[in-house]
Amino acid sequence: MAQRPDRIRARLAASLEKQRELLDAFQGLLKDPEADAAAIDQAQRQLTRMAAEHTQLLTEWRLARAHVAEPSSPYAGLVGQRPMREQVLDILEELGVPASPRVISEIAVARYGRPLPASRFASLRRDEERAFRKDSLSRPAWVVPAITAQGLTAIPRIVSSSAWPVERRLIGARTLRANHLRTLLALLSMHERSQRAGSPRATSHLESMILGFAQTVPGAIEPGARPEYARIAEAARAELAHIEETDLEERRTAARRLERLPEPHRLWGQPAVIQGRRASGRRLG
Amino acid sequence: MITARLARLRGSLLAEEPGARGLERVARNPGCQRLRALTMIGVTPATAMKTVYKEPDREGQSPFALAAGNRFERAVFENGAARLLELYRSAGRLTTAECKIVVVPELAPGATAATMARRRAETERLFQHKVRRDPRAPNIIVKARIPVALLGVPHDTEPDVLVAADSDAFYGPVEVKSYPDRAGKTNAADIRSACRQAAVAVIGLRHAVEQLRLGDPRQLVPAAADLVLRRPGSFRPTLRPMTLAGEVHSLERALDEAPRNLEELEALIDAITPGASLDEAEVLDAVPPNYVEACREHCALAPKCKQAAAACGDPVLIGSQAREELAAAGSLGRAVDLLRGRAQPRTAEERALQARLQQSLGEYRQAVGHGR
Repeated sequence: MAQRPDRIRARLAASLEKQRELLDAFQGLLKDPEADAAAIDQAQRQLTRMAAEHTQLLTEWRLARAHVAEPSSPYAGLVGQRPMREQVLDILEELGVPASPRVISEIAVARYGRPLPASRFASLRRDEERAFRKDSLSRPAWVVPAITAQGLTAIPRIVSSSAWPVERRLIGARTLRANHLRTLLALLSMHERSQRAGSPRATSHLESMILGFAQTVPGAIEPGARPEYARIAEAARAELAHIEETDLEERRTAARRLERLPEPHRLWGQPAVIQGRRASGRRLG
Repeated sequence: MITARLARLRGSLLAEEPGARGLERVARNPGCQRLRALTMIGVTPATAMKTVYKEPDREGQSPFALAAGNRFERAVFENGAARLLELYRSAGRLTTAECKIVVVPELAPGATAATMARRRAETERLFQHKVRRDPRAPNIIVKARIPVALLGVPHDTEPDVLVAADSDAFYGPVEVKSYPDRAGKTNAADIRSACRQAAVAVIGLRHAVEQLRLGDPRQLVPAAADLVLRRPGSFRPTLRPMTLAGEVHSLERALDEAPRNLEELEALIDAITPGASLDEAEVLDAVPPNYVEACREHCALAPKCKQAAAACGDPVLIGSQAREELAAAGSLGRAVDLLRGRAQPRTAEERALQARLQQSLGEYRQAVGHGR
């Protein structure tokens, strides 16, 4: 097991003290004309062993220092935290719409001070599906993929919560844009709350996220001026008003189709099937 | 069946996807049968250089350029391609309501054959929606997958983006490049290369329209595309509509040169050694290259082909114009012999060349004062 550098330094200091004693004894033996040659040899062997021990301790000390200096693994921060799935579900609840792992990870930085590694979402989704198939009642909500309104198949890179109404988990033709605007509105309300709570770190992180999302909303940001959050919200709502109804209608229609499927397909999407020439379905997983 | 025939020609080499970049490379040097043969069997020149000739390939893109390109693409496509949408809206090409976006790789993530088949199927479905004027037909399709039978062999191409307003009859391709957009001062070679890749997408779309019997390919897919470049010093995109009539025409002509299909390629290889494959250096050496100065810009095999050109004294070593001028002699050595009178002309063309060369030499000497 790796030791801390300060402990190794303490061992090195103790070893040097012992070496000093051995050197004194060795010097005494050399001065003594009656000294036994075998005793001198043994003292010299002990000194050689001591030198080797110092070299080893110094190497260990350098390694321990390098280990301390290394950046911690992205998962190290998760040790002792709430399970990732719960953090993801909490963030999704705040957003209210399906989101990509990258967006969830960035919001985690604002909320918890550390990102949720986006690379772990694929395994999280697989774990969730496995656990669901083992016992579908074991958890109150599952991290599930968003589902396409057209084919009712999963979109694995967009995650949602099984606790939501079906139409909220569906992605129609306009939903990516509508969800972009809804995410922006959710970020604005998170920002307001974090300002009220007096959390400058979260506030500043959310501000940079809001700017990124608002840049593509017409009329949200005046070039060269400081961002006005009320104006951003107004612009986002105005654009959303253009597409919200059509988007919701498409998702509601698809939701009625989805509700007729068996429960696993309702949550994880139905398998992708490609129609062959003789209309024989080829299942592609 | 075709897969097995291609695998036989590849031998031990692994199949790669040439993509638009590979097909564009063929168009840059249509006379190079070696490049064409490798592209047809799905092997890049870089792989051939490394695996067949066991020499380092110097084609690799700079890691900095690659990272910048990836970051730019990510910036353009993130959050449901929000920046791209804004770009088209601010250019007046899409309205606020025209915000239907499909990111095909998100529907089928991964790199398996099944995933790719699904991406092709999803793309086909979206095309059919568009032609049927279905109101759900997307305005922006990111990374659609279009099968194209070019050089007689099916290839898949993935145009960066396809875009269409609701009123448009069909999609037009968009090429996203991280080259800085400096208006008239943008690197001309970068623009040419991007346009040629966009031309591959035009041909791919026309092919898809034809295969799916969606209508008249040339009418639905005009020879035009948009280039999305990077605003210098930022990751914000710029939009440049381009007409590609010349690029599409030259690509079609280039792809029409022999070997045009698998049968012709098989005949060519069998004429070298019956049953041979292109993973053998001697066989690949025997497939005629067409070395030109521009090969260095795009082909990893250029050093190898240059060596071969030097070995036979190919006049192209002193420029493509010299190759044309000295075509009758065939080599630099023969041209010098004719010039010095050390060789007798064997044909009327050689005689004319000798006269031309000697006259030019006389004029040169006179001009520099050696003729007095």
